[in-house]
Amino acid sequence: MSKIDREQVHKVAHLARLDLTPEEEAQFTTQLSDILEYFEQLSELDTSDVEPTTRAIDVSNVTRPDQLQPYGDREQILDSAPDREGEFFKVPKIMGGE
Amino acid sequence: MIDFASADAIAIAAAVRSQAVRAVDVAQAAIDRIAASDLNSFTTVLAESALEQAAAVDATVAQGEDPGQLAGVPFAVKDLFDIAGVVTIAGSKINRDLPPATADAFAVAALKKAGAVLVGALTMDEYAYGFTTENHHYGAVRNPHDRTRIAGGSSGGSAAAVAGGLVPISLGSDTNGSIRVPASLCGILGLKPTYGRLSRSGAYLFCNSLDHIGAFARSIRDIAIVFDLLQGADPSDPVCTSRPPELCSPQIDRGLDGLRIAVADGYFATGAEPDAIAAVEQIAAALGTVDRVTLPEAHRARAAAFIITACEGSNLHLKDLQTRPQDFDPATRDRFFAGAMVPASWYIQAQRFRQWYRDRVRAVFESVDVILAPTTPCSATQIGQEKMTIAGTEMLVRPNFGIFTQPLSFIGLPILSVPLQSRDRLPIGVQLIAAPYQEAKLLRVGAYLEAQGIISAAVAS
Repeated sequence: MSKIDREQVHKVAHLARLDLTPEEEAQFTTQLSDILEYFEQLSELDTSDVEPTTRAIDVSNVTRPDQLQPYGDREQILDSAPDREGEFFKVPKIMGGE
Repeated sequence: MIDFASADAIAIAAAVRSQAVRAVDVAQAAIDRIAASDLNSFTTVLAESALEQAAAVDATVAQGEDPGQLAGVPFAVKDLFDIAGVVTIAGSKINRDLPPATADAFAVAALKKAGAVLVGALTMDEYAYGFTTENHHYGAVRNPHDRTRIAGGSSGGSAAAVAGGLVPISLGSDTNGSIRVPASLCGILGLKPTYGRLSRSGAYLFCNSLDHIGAFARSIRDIAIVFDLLQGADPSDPVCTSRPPELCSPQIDRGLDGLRIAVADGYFATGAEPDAIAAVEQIAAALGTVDRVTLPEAHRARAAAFIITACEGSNLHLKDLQTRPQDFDPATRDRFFAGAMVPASWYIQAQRFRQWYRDRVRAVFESVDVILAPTTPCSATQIGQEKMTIAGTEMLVRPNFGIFTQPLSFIGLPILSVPLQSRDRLPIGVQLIAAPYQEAKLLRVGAYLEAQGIISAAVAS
């Protein structure tokens, strides 16, 4: 059975922006390996033709259809954002840089 | 004179409505019992507002108007339900920094509207992640049947308060067993309705795709009335069903006619201590059933529920895990951290399995109406106990009290945990399980067992 090693936990914790001590990394290596065993139990069963669900019981009509409604004042929309650059919304950088 | 500590909600409401007692005296008696209690079941006591509410009920009665079906009945809620003017702490230290709730949760408002009097909020595992209610910040809730033992969790305060006679009814939530486990260990009734049947609006959620709310009580008729009052569509909870309410109170005395009942075998008949198995057999004998059914791959259902819970729960708390991990209860932090690192493919596989499993279980309900299974693998363990031995295998206490509850809530089935008592042993519960939206069948079976004296939920002395 494949196991998770400490180095993988270190890497994933970094990606998830979790600040773990070396002791915690060791502890979660064991915990994640336990969860991996659960996952492997699920993989033993062929469910390839089944769509995943996201609810204990499926609920219909939780969203309405999108309705397109043109809005005339483009400038006002752009000005409503916290920051803009020309005709674009400007957002904080979220990728790269580290 | 009515004994406020042992009377059920319906009896109290009848006494208040007929002016045999005043609601303020009922409320004051509850407040006094809570103050004298050593169960550690309350995190907030609302004495002043409870007495005001009770006085309003008395005034309504005096004017000859209808004070509601639960007139003057004291109740309390797990501290993840919003109470206007109170911070919803959800068993955490972190949420103490939040502003007070601006409105009552849907369920709290519904019970108040029926005349019930809110007396406080109840202790729970941090963020509802646990089966023991040994809360690092607020202490362990004590089991009214034996103060050295746990009440179960995560709705431990909700169960202990009812079992200990502090309030006749309370509300809790159930993600993987958090209503049923403490109901079993405290020897009372706990109803986890169908997923989406009751609005969770204003309840601090833990794991959206698995969270339910429900009720604790000491009589079937109380469980039925609370469930009936809470039914109904609520657009503010997107998973709350728009199906019309199906009132159960008028149906509970219909008996067992036409109900096909069977015992779950396989996974649910192994891996439990003898008293848990004996409890199921005792219920089966009382119902005259010898049939057996198999819920396929239940062990995998538990595995999938575990993964989904860890992922959704940790996602909800990711920001706090990143910025203030030291403020979590160490017991919940560990599992949230682990959940934050689970690959998406594991989560999706668990959801895929859920669909598969739900279809298989639906087929089982074509030949049976109510299924019996143990609620917990054993009765209450000691406070502070880390490991237990179940059917010869040593295992951790904390994650394993839910082995029989998790595979069922995973697909949203309605379940009533019914209590068996005996003079020389601790109480233990049995799950009555039905197909979605068939709560009335569960309550009919429960009422039959109650009338036969098989199950009972007397206040623990």
